[in-house]
Amino acid sequence: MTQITDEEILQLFQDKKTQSEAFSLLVKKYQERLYWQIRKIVLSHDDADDVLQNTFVKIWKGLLNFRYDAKLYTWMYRIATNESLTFLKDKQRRSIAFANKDVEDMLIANLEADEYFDGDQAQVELQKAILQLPEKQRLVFNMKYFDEMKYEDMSEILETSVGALKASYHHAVKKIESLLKLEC
Amino acid sequence: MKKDQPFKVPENYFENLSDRINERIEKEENPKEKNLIQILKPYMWMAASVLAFVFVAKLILTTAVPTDFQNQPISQIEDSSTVNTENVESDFFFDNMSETSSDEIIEYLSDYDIATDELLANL
Repeated sequence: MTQITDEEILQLFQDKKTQSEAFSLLVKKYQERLYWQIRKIVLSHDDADDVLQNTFVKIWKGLLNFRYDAKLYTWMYRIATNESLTFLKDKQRRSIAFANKDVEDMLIANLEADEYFDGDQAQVELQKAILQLPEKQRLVFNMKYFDEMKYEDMSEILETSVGALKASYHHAVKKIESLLKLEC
Repeated sequence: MKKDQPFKVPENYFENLSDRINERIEKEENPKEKNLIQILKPYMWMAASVLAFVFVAKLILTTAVPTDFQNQPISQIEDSSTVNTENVESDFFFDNMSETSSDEIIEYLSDYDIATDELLANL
């Protein structure tokens, strides 16, 4: 069975009668990809679940006005990324324990407490090294290294030039390698 | 570097996610469908304020009554509702009449429409 295209989903969504069905199709098509994009930013499953729901609510609200200036999935990735970063900043602001610390300290604590993180020591060290990267480099590294996303798509999502993204990824890899060598 | 994902998700997480998201959207689209507590919440605050006011007022009235007054027989206590407050201003006027000029008296009478009989009775 061939998968329904984004254009077909959007056409169904325009009609009030088929709107709900179209949205369910969209959620089913993209839920995993968006979940993993969010999860790699917020790290804990519970937070990823909250952010994913917020993301789809935002997508629902904006979908009628969506125009084909960008691909549908890069537009949704952008919403997911922004929602994740906003969520982390809000969570840190609300947290008493991490109010005066960096978001990264909170994320390491979240990761260690998350029952759905099943990494060995090397994976914990890799995640800690990723968390030491500046925010933009962290996003680029996750999207390229884990998701193997094309620079062109990444460029649309992060609204950054392909050249700048390649440079960011190169710096990120070098920094992570040196951090991991220090740990060994 | 290892590329394996150390992150897991709860079993069947993605299977019912779509339903949960649709429920959440329905709630956002129809905020009027509130539960009973949410509907009554503003009224509960009002009721609590009124009760608090009544309680405080009762407390003040109870403690404000002098002790010796409380010991008096009820027949000797003049009910405050029977005191004629309407005559207070008139009595004050007649007590101070000697110091008042004729013009002021005429002006007062025309303003307050006091009957001649009542005026004579106080002379």
